[in-house]
Amino acid sequence: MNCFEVLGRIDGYLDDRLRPEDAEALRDHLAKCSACAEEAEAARDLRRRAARLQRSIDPSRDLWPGIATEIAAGMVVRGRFGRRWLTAAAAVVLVAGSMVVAYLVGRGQAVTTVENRQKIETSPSAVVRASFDDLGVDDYVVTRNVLLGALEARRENLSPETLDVLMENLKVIDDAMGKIAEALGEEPGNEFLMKQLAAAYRRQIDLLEVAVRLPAEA
Amino acid sequence: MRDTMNRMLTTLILILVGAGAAWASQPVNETMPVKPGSEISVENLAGSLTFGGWDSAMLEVTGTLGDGVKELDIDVDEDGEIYIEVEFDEDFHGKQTQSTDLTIRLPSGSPLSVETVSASISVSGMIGGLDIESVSGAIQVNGAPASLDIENVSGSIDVETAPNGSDVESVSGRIEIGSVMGDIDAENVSGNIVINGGILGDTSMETVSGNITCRAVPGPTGDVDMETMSGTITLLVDSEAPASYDLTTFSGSITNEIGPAPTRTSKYTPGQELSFNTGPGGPSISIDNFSGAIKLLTR
Repeated sequence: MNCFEVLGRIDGYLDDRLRPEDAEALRDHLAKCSACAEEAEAARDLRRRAARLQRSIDPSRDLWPGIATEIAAGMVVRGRFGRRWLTAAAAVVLVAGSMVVAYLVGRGQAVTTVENRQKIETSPSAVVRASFDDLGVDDYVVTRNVLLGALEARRENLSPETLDVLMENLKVIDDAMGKIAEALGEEPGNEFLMKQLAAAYRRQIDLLEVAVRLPAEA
Repeated sequence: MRDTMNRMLTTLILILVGAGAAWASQPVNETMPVKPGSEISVENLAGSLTFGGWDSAMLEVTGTLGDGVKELDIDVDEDGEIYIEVEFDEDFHGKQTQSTDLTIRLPSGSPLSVETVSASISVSGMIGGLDIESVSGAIQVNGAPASLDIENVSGSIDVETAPNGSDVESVSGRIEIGSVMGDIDAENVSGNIVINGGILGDTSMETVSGNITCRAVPGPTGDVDMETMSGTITLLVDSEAPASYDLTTFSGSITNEIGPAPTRTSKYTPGQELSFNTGPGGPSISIDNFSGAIKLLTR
C-alpha cells in the first residue's frame, strides 16, 4: 500500500470500515512512514477534539442580523469545496481550485465579491507531493502558480469577454478535478481515475499557457 | 511580426498623410514588384483585409484608409520581404465612420503573414504558406495553401482546405474546416471545432467546453486524438475500415454505432470506457472527455 492509497483510507481505518487485510496493510505502512503516520494522527486528533464539542450551543443573542449585514456588504465568499476531508488528491485539488477561484474573484469577475481578499496558502505536504509522482504532475502546483502570476500580470491586456471565457473554462476543469479527486477518495489507485486526473491537470496547464500568450486586446 | 528596428531596409516607401488630414478616409492604390518566394507581412488593427493570389509577380494594394489612420507603411527589406502596416493615430478619439478596408493582390506562391486585432481577414487563391493571427476578426481561407497556421481569440475561423501539418487555434471562436489533407492540430477553449471532410493523418483536437465534430476519414496510419472536458465529441466513421478505438469518459455517455457497448470503469462513478478494433492495422483513434458525450457514428 503506497502513501496515496493510505491517505485515501485513513478515514475508513479510523472508522473500522476497512477489511482486516487492508487495515493490517495500512498499519504496516504507518509503522514505516512517519509522514503518513503524522497525517493519521492529525486525523485522529481532529476526531478526538470534535468528539469533545458540545452537540448544540444556544447563542447568547440572535446572530442573523449581523450575518445579513456582512453578506450585504459583500464580504462573504461562497466556497464550492471544503465539505469533508477527502484524500491527498482532493487536498491538492482543493488548493488548486481555491487558487483559481481566488485569482478570478480577485479580478472582480466572479459571481462572488470580496473586499478583503485572503491569501491562499499553497503548501501541500511532502506526502501529498510524493503521492502525485505516479501521475507525473508533482510540479503541478508550482507550474500553475507561475502561470497564474503571468496571467495576472497581463490581464489588463485582455478583454472582459475573453477573461470570462477563461474563467468559466478554468472552472470547468477545476470542478472536474474536484469530482475526480472525490472518486479517487472512494477508490484509490483506480488507473482510469488517475489517468483522468492527470489529463485534467494537463488540460488546465495547457489552458493557462494559452491564456498567458494570448495577443493583447486592449 | 518583426521588429521594425531590426529590419535592413533597402527601400522605404511611406505614404504619409498630413496630420490635419490623417483622420479622414483616404483612397489607396499602390503596386510594386515582389521578389519570388519573398514573404509578405501585413498588419491592420481594424477594418478588413482581403487577399487574392494571382499569377502576376506584382503586389497591388487598393482600398480605403479609414478615419484615424496616421499612415500606411510599405517597407521592403534587403531580402525582398515586404511589410505593410496600417498605423493608427493614437490621438484620434473620434467616431470612425469609415473603416480601413484593403484589398491586396499578391503572387499566389508568396508566403503570407497577417496580423490584425478586429479586422476581418479573407484569403483566397494562395498556394504559399499562410500564417494568420487575429483577436476578434473573422478569418476565412479559401483555396489550398502550402501550410496553415492560424490563431484567433474570439473571431471565427473558416478554412476550405487545411493542408498537411495545419495548426489552428482559438479561444471562443468557431473553427470550421471543409477538408483536412493530413496531419492537423486544432485547439479551442469554448468554441466548437467542426471538420467536414478530408483525410486525417496524425490528428489532435482539443477543447475545454466546446464541441468537436469530425466527418473526415481517419487515414490508414496515424494517431487521432480528441479530447474535451465538457463538450460533445462526434466522430463519423466507416464501420468497415480497420482501426483501433479507445474511448473514455468520466461521467458522460458513449454512443457506439460500430462496435460493442462501453463498460463501467468503477462502481463508484458513472465513468465508461470502450476499446475495440474494427480490423487489423489502421489508425489508432483515442477519444477522451470528462462529462460530455462521445458519439461514434456510422458515416
